[in-house]
Amino acid sequence: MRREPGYRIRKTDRIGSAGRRASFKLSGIPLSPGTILGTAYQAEPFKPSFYRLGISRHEVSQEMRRFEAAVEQSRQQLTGIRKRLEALVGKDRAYIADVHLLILEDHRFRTEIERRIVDRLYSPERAIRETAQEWLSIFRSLEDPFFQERGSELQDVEDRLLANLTEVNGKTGLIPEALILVAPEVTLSVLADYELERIKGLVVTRAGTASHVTIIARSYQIPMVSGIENLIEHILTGDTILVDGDEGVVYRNPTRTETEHYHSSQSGRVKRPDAGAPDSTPGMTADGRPVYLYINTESESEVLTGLKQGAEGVGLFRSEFMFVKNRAATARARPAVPPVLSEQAQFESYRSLAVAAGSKPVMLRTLDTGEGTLPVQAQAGFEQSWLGLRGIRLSLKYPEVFRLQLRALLRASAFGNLNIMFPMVSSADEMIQGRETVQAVEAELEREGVKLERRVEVGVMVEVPAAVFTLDAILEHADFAAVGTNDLIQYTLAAGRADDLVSDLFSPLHPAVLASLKKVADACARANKKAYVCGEAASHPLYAYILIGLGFQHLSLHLHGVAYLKSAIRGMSYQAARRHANHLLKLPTFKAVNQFVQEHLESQWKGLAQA
Amino acid sequence: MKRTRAVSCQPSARFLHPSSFILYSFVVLRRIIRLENRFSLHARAAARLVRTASRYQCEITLAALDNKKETDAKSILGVMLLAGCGGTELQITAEGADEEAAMVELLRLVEENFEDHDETRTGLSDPQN
Repeated sequence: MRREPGYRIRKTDRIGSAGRRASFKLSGIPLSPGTILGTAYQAEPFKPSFYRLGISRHEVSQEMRRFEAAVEQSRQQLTGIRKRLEALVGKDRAYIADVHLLILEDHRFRTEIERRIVDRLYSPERAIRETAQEWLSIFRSLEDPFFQERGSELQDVEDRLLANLTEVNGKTGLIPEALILVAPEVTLSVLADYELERIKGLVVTRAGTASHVTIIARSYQIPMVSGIENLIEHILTGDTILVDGDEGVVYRNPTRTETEHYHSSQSGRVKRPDAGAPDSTPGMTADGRPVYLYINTESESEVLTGLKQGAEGVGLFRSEFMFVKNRAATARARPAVPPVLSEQAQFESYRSLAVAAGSKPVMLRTLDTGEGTLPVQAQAGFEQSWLGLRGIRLSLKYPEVFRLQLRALLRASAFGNLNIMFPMVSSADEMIQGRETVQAVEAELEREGVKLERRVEVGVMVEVPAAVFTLDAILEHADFAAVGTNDLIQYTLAAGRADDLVSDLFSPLHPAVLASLKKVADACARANKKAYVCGEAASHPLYAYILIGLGFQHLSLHLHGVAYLKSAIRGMSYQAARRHANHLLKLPTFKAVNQFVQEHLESQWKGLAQA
Repeated sequence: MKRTRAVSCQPSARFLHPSSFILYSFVVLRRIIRLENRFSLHARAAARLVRTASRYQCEITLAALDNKKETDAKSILGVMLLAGCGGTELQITAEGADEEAAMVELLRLVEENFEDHDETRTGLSDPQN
């Protein structure tokens, strides 16, 4: 399906007159909650399909001026983007715009283009394309995917230059007041091209749960859905779309019923509390079962905000982010020796984390590399499955890195309530080895005269099915368990969450996943150990309801969801949740579970949430 | 010193023969630095390095000793490619009027792991500067 030439957005809302294109439902991954109805706008980079190949000699100076003007315009745009990015994500992360500016300035790049125009009489379009493609092919020839990815910055600059050359600009004049950005991939610079107040929703094919764009969407409460393939075929600029960031669903040209349903659920929805309205009362169901909410985070700065939103602590602190933030990115495609960050640097980071959380517990996950832990520029490989050397295995293989992290952690533990958990544990053996390392480091520190005032709890992350089945043995050596639902689902069902072809399968409602979760809750209850859930699933009120029903009382989620989930839980009945969960466990098929949830729970949860 | 081509991962034409070190080291300023690991020169670090180098008049060359690639330190594409070729041992060569000041600042930058302390200089390409 091609975009019609000269197709323009109508500013008027086209609900009701949507007969031109059939209504259609697309399923993806929910990344930022909320629902929005609006006009789609494709943020496709502009590529001129036709341009002159050659110019004649007397046109050279004129064409050179045209090229200079495009460079100047790109420079101004990028300078503006850098300013906006600095306001959005801070100076630290705005460097992407800086890289683009430098590429624009790169004298070798410029000289090569100019030579093609002046000496070879190429049109500027052809000169830019050819030069950029030549450089890109060198980037592609690099062995390391992390650096290959750098080529995308050059691609961005090429697109910008070509668009400015063809005078397809004045974008702001064209785009409507309220739009839903639709693009295979939204980079930070694309996002900064628009005024953020105008963006009401985001639909993309690729984005990591921890990418900068996702983080911005969440903090600005812009509903966002990812993981939809062939977006450009399905949604055109001007289509009216309904984005449901809670369910991860997008409706193109929604029917009247779907729209009405949206409006009614809007009015019935639990009001998203403002940042200024914190909820410090403990979480509890309507019938008095306490449910403690924690935040998942990777930055110390989010901890205070999280506690203000009513969180009881940090259920998951992704320590590897610190390694990424600090000068080195963790290796992704191939396991490599993790970058070493000095003990002191780690210690200072952990200490500020511990101090920020005060007496509230912080569960710090030791170095893990995997999906969702990558910086935005390293997203390309995020679809791949993460088997093999990662998590505790990686730490045990590189004991020096592990020891450094543990030393920093244990030293910082005196400043707050810092605890440790090991990712990717697949047997009691690994747990024992990890625990022994902790004890060895403790002894080492004591020999050095460092006083360890409190006993640090050491927990296990249940992410691999093997850990589910050996949990009783593991728990003999662990102080608590934390389920990482995303990984557990992925490894249990052999289905990646970004894989569109099996995305239907990727659900906490699959009978095997439900049974695993139940097994974990039971094992922890038997051993009298706390069971945390810290995957995306915990942030969804419906899944939270089922988790509570299965027996979990400690849920950890993104900080912006805490206040919302807390008020939703207040409307839930634990007794009913337990009955429903037990019923779900007895259902034989995935289809039956889904059907039951749709028929009984979705409406029930919405009803409860209204109360 | 004429530079014609981008860094590529094919063996470079400008092979760095050990004897040339001895010869040149009397004429130009040359220092060898070690990066913490092969990811140290990530995009942000590369941007910072290029920005710093561009502030000086002198010619600054960056060479990866492990694989004999080199690039103009004022070209971001070149520096990003050099980083991508692997190698943690780099040689900085500065040649020109302000070479000493340039070298001092570049070494400081590497020493501080490309961390940012002086954000007042936003750079050359900012027309408002």
